[in-house]
Amino acid sequence: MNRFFYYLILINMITSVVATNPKILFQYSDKGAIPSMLLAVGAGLFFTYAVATFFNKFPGKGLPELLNEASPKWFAKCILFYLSVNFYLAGLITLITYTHILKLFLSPEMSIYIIVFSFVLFVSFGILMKTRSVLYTIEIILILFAPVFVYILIKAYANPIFDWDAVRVAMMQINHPPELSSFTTATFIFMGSVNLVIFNRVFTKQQKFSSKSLLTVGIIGIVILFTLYFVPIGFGGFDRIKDLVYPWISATDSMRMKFGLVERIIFIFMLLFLGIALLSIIIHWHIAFHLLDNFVRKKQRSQKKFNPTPYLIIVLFWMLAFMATLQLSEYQLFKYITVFDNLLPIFFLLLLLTFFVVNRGAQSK
Amino acid sequence: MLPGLYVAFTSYNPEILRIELALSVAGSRIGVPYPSFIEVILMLIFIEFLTEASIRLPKAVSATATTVGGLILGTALTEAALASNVMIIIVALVAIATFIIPVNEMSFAIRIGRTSLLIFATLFGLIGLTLGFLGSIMYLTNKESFGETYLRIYWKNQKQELKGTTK
Repeated sequence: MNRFFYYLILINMITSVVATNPKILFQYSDKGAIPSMLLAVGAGLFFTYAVATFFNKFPGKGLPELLNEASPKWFAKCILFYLSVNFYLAGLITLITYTHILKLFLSPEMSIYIIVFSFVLFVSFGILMKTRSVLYTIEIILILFAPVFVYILIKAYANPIFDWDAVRVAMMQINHPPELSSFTTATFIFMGSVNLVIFNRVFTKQQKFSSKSLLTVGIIGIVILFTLYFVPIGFGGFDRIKDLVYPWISATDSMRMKFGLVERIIFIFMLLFLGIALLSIIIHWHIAFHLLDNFVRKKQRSQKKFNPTPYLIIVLFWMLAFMATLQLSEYQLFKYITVFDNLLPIFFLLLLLTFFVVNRGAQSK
Repeated sequence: MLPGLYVAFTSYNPEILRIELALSVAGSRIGVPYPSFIEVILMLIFIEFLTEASIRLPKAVSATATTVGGLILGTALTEAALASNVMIIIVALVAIATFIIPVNEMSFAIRIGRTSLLIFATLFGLIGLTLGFLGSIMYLTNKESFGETYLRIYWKNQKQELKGTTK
């Protein structure tokens, strides 16, 4: 597979480290989080495989084009709208979570408007970028940030206060039946491959999704899931980990660099994840934007005439983002995210159905 | 990036730096009458004047200009508490860093970029600085000349890759 494909998956995984996903998992830490995580690895890999093989059949084409070619119109419109709303919500969740985190930990005096505004300003630039450029940006920023991320991981695992006994206690909870919410949350980590919906447009070369790629994705996913779940447990202990609002931030706050210019790792961590979150929001909203654009569009757009649709869509995004960020409290946000994650299986099935329909449509032609 | 960092640290998040450094930075700003970003902007304009002047003046005079500007004015500024010591260091570093850049036209671009980063840091603090940095990367990757992007990473250095696998 193309290396950009892995980047897309990786970004999705890393972003969920600091978002609400660990918290949802910890809610079920003594009710079957671990078996559902194991199940989620399987389901996520299967899903990744399905998406990747499907899009490899149609190099250089995004889902909107495929749908327009090979399926009835009403079906295409419904699917496009549903998908764009979903992607928008995924980006919105990251945005709101990060705004809360930044407001809490980095700049408590700053107005929440300003934080959201600064985010949305750059994100809307990212939305309007060319799809190819988005990929290049992802690559450069990931490569810039990767050493820091690895450093933080090493720092976490090699830390003397990292309590492996707590990790073992958490691992003992394997004998519970899996739980729906924790299962869907854990599968969300593997959802990065869905981003191909739009990004497949730039993958014009025929490529193969071999078992090696599947293995790579699986290993990365397992490592990230392990880190995501067990590092906060190692720092915070098993019993009361449920009560922390942002377990990962608290975990990183217990690390310090003795000789560093910046003593507390939490700030480096936060700035690093600020970048990653920005990328994730850009990816999600970029896709949502293009899907919505295709949904609204009636016929082929003429190049010359000025078209206000993209700007209208962005204004819509902005307004919804501001409203949602101001309205939601952390508790509500957490509840809504759980609902969103629980709806993911429907998303799964719908997408698979779409693939089926498109495949049949393409064959009948 | 340094001027932006200075603004972000002094006016938004002094607690990020370790305590000794934060104290020494804050200590050197005692008596400076205006907010840090005005200080930074003033000093940056001053250093730009200085570099431009030293380019244009004849050789014999330009040494005098830099001495008067750099040494005497710098010392006087800190003693009159119009700018902090750390600020002078930063400005000097910025000046040296601009001389590193090999192409003169590129240093103009860097100048603009520096100012925009400074503005973002002033408006949004450390968040703005990081986002501004990422934003400049985004801007550069989005810019194209003759269909090739300004900024991208060539991975394997294969012929294929140079032609562009993802077109």
